Amino acid sequence: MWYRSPSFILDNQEQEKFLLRQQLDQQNDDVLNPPPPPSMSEISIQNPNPNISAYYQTRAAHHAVVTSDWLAQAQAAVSGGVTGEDTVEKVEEDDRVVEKGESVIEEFNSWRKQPDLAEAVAAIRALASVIRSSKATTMMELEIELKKASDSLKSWDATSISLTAACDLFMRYVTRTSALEYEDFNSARSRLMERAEKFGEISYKARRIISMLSQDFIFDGCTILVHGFSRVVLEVLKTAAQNKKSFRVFCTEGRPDRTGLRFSNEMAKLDVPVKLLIDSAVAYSMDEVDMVFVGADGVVESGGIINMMGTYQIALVAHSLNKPVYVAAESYKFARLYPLDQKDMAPALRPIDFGVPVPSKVEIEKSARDYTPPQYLTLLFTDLGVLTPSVVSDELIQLYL
Amino acid sequence: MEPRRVPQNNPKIRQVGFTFNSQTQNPHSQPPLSTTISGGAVENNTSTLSPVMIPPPPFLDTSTSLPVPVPAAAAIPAARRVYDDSHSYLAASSPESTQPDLSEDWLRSSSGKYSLAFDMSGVNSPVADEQSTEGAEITVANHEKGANVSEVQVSHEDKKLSSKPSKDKLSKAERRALQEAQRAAKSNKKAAASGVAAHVTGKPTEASKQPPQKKNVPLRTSSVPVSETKGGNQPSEKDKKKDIPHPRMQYDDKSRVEKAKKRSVVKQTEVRNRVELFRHLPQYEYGNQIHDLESKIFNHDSVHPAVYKVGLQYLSGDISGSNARCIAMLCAFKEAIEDYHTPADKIITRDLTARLNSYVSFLSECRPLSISMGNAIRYLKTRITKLPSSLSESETKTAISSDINRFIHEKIVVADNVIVQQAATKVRDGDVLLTYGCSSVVEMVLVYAHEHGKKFRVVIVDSRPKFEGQGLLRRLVAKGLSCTYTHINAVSYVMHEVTRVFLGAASIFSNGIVYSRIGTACVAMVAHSFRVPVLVCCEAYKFHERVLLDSICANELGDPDVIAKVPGRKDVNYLSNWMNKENLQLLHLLYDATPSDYISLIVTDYGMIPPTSVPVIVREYGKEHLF
Amino acid sequence: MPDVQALVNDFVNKLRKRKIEGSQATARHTAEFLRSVISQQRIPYTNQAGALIDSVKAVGEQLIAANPVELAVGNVVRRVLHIIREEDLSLTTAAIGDLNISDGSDDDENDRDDRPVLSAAALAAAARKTLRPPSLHTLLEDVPNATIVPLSSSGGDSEGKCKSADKSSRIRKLKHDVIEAVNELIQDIDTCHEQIAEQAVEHIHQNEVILTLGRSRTVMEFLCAAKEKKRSFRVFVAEGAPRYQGHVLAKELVARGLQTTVITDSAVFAMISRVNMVIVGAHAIMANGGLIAPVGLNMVALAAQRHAVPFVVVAGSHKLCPLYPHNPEVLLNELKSPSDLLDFGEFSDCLDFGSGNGEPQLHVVNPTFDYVPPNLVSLFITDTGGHNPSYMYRLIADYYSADDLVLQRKSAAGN
Repeated sequence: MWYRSPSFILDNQEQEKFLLRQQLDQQNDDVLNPPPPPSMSEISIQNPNPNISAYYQTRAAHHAVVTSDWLAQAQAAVSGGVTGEDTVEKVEEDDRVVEKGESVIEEFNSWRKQPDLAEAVAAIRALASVIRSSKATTMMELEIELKKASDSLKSWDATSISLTAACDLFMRYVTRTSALEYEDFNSARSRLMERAEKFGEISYKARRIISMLSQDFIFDGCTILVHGFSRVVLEVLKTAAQNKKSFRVFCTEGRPDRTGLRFSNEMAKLDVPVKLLIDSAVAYSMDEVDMVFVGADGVVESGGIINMMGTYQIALVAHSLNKPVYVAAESYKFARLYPLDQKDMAPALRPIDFGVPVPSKVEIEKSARDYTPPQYLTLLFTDLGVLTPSVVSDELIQLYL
Repeated sequence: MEPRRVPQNNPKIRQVGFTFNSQTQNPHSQPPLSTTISGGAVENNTSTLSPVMIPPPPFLDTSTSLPVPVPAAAAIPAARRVYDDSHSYLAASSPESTQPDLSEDWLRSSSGKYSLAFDMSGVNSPVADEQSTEGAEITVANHEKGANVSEVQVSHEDKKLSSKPSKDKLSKAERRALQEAQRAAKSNKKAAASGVAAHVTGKPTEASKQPPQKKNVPLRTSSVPVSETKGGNQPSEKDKKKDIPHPRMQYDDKSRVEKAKKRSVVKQTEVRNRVELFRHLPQYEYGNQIHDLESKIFNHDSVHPAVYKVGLQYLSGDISGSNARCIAMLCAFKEAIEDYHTPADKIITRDLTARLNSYVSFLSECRPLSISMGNAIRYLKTRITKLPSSLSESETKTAISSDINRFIHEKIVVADNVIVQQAATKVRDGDVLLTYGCSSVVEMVLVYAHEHGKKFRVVIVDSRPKFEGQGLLRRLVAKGLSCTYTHINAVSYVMHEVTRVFLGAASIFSNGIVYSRIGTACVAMVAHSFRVPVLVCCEAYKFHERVLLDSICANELGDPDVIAKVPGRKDVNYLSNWMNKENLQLLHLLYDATPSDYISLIVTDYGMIPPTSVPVIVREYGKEHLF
Repeated sequence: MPDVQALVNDFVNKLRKRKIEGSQATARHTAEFLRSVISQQRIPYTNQAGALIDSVKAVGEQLIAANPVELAVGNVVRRVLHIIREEDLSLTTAAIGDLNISDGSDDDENDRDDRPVLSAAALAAAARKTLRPPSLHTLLEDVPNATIVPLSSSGGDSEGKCKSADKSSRIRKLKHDVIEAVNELIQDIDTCHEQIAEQAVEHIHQNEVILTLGRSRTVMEFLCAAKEKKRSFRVFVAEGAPRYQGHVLAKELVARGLQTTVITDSAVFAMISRVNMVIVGAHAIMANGGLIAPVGLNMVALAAQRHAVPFVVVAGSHKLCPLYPHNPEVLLNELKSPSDLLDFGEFSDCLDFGSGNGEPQLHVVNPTFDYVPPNLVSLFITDTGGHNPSYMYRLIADYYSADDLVLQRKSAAGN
């Protein structure tokens, strides 16, 4: 509501009134005329709860913070999906695309729930299952099916960048493979499936490469500040601990997901001295810190990153105190987005539990992520090597052109 | 109009005074000190103040214009003016201690602290005993550059003053008219002679210093600015106008340079390959004059031997560092004043001031005055002019001596104490402190902190061509501090581990710019980029109301030859023939200006202040001069 | 190869004792040395490129270990390796192209092969990709790219279609090509100054004031080239203690007729407000655009940034290093003798350690190099033109291949 100009406030108030009136009308209408049953195609692939970012919900689940809201939604999602499928199946047999769409999402969700699996891997596995169950006979058909499936995945959760990026990457790969016409369909198809299934290995290998690359940058006696729970960063620090480097870690608490608690658990298991900070204590402790390590939910074209809420803040403080900020991200997270500011992205909201009931008049900032511009990042560790932020666009250009 | 104008005693004097347009110079110099043409003042006891002296602010009783009573300090042993670096000095002199301690306290040798290693006692005796010097001094006065002028003026003024009492009453309107006339004449003259400022760095009272040098204003002796009216009305007007300090002597004006050279005692020859950018600063060839001048030490009548000696020490570089130079100069002046005898029918304060001017000009020829010296001279002159004319000669001399002692004690010694104690609180255990070059105050801080049991390391950064840090290194290691020594290029390398940077300063200007040894700005800049706090320790008497933007407009050029040669490295002789190469110039700058945003904190005797508060101190501090 | 080993030892000795001064000289010597190693190397029929690469790597490792701070050695070694791979690839592509034309009927046979054999085009494409650093669009490719490479070089063998004459000629051709390419590299190294100097006129206009520190031959050529083109400008040279190379540079510039002023290093901040441009040389350029430069240049770069003066670095391409600096002040620096700064004789009493607990009270630091971060540099001028610091990684990708970054034996994996 509080945009740049006060006239917006007035406009908004007008609009609210209008909507309210409309609702009243509708209710009256409902009483009078029951709405026609929705057509089959509409039910199809819609996120039951578009206001909550499923991606961040899932991550919260991984961090073992299970709130009641989430449980309810999970239930709703599962039950919604099931009924949807039934309904669809009953209706038409030719509408296989719709059915596939549903099962893709279901498959994706099932993969995604596994805490150790990267988002992209889940997506690609889901797409692999599409290939497996596809009945196409030419590459073109297969491509079209895959495209539909990937679109549905993307629209189901518009907030997950690695999902989008992985789908795009896979589609490019498919396109390029199909462009090599020398092959017959079956071998190509089997190869696609094999690659897709092996993608999990690729992701795992990517993490190993990243942790190897970052070893040189962790010197003995250094202090590392970590924000959010990134499996890549965890891998990096695990490797460093195994290589007998002596360092200590500061974890931010990471409200509302409490990622810091989980991360410090892990660090304690590795016998690494760890200190928990509340999010507001970052600037205070920043002069003791030697470097900041974060993961990324997505790496955008400018070289900046999209990550859990709070990353931008930390990067700003680190930059103003001359501390390097290192990002550990696999290369399949590179996406063709270019946000100009914080609000330039699709909003990803998730409910925040403050522990005490909050009066309904009070607005809550529910966004789960922010964008960190490239000038605050020092280096990106990826499986393509150590990159400066300007290289990201180079890679993307090569991929898509 | 001026509030509470004291009735003007002698308008006629003023009128006459203004035909010598020289006097109209400097309306804004608040201490008109210098030549107080107060011949008549001695006789006029009705107005306790000579008509030509700057009266104190209205609310102060004129009787208190006497210097603050200096108990028993008159008997300052002439003996040892040599400085001790012992901690006893620090312990002994507490801020509350007054004059009695003075004799012992700062009269100790400290080759490190003030790098003053000379003993004046030897010089003192031959001169002091001569009674005949009186006559000699008169002749001396005659030989002084432009001294004849002052004499003339004195005589003029004498005549004027004698007729003074009869002109007691004048109507207000007439007085006002006179003042307007004066002001108009003043501004004309000022415009004419604006370029010719004193060697003295940025002192508003350049008029007082001018006379010996610039002859285009021949009658501008250390003349009485207009302000020397009767009574106390002028000061407030002057104060308002004194904001803009006079520009200093600009060396790119050939005619002025020629004139200056003609009356100089120290013959300097100009260097051939001059850097264009620095044409406005003097650049001489060094090393030629010392032997010459040494032999003439007792032959030179116009300059007291003590002062002469100090001048030579400046020239050769034996004394360096603003505190040391200032103290040396003041001690030399004290000696000179002791030996001074007022020539017949001259007013002591005026003559003394003229004499001082000549000394100052000599010293500035040896080496351009530092800001600390300039402020000290200004203070001294103010005190001299404030002296009531009723005192006898010996009393006057005693008063001035004690003033000097007080200045040194309060503004330098005690101030250093205060600074050291405050700065030591910023040193924590485990710190790594970096310092640049050799600053007496910073050395004291480090030693003090070390003696109070703080555990820290010191990094000393040094640079060419003077390598001043080596002396500091030696002294600190002797005291038991762990030191790291490096040169200024490596400052980025060491800055990683440094926690605090301590710097000294030659002066701090009103826009917060720190003016100090060349290279300080580089160190502060690198420290700032590594987010290391920079602390500047500087006594308040070095502050100045000038403003400075960069290091080019105001600086000092040193001997370019030392750049070509590197001591101890025979292999570095690529530039041995640099004089003959017309395209090659060597630049040896001595000072630079550090921007205020690199400085975190300034420790002064007024407390720890941010760089933005420097003009506040200057204003408050400046007022003290008037008291 | 006893001969080779003797040569290697000799060269390693020279490097270790720092007898070769300057990165250009070092690079040149290294290139020539590697050329002789290659020419003396006996190549087996199969996997020739691999053999060459191995031998060069083995020698290169020793060279780098002799003087790790002189990055030019490593750079040249990696360049040569990259050349070998490139030449090999181009030969293979040519050969396969021939094969395709001559043996078009082989496709059927290929299909019957057990291995998932791809067509020649795919082969070539895949092989080309091995030379590029890993990239997004190769992400999903089959991992065993490595297997394709030996396939290419041994392609002649497995095909079994080539005549033996072809085989031996191919072997010789590879070596010959590689040596030719190395000769080109040597020539590039030699002429880098001229190529850089040609760009001088674009950057220096009339009545400029230029600041430099220490002495770099590239900078001198650069400035003299501008002087030739009748640009009038003045130069401030900071002397660059404790080597005082600035004096040498000043002398040379004056001999060529340029207006020069020598200043002390401490005067840099004071003078930089009157300077239009800072031009310096470098010791090495790292992959992130950062600079390893003679000591004191970080100070100059900071001052230039403060006064918004462009900071231009001129360097030949043999100075580009594909490594990332993670602790450059310590790892890529050399500390020289303190006698440059302090006279031991004068300070012998301080060096006594007489405080009783034996702890040294006096410590003298004399580093040779400084690290300048990429955000302080405005422009890099190399023999390929002018570039932004953020673009340096691209040049590096052109000159080096990813496999060569870690020049250690395979056993020591996980650096």
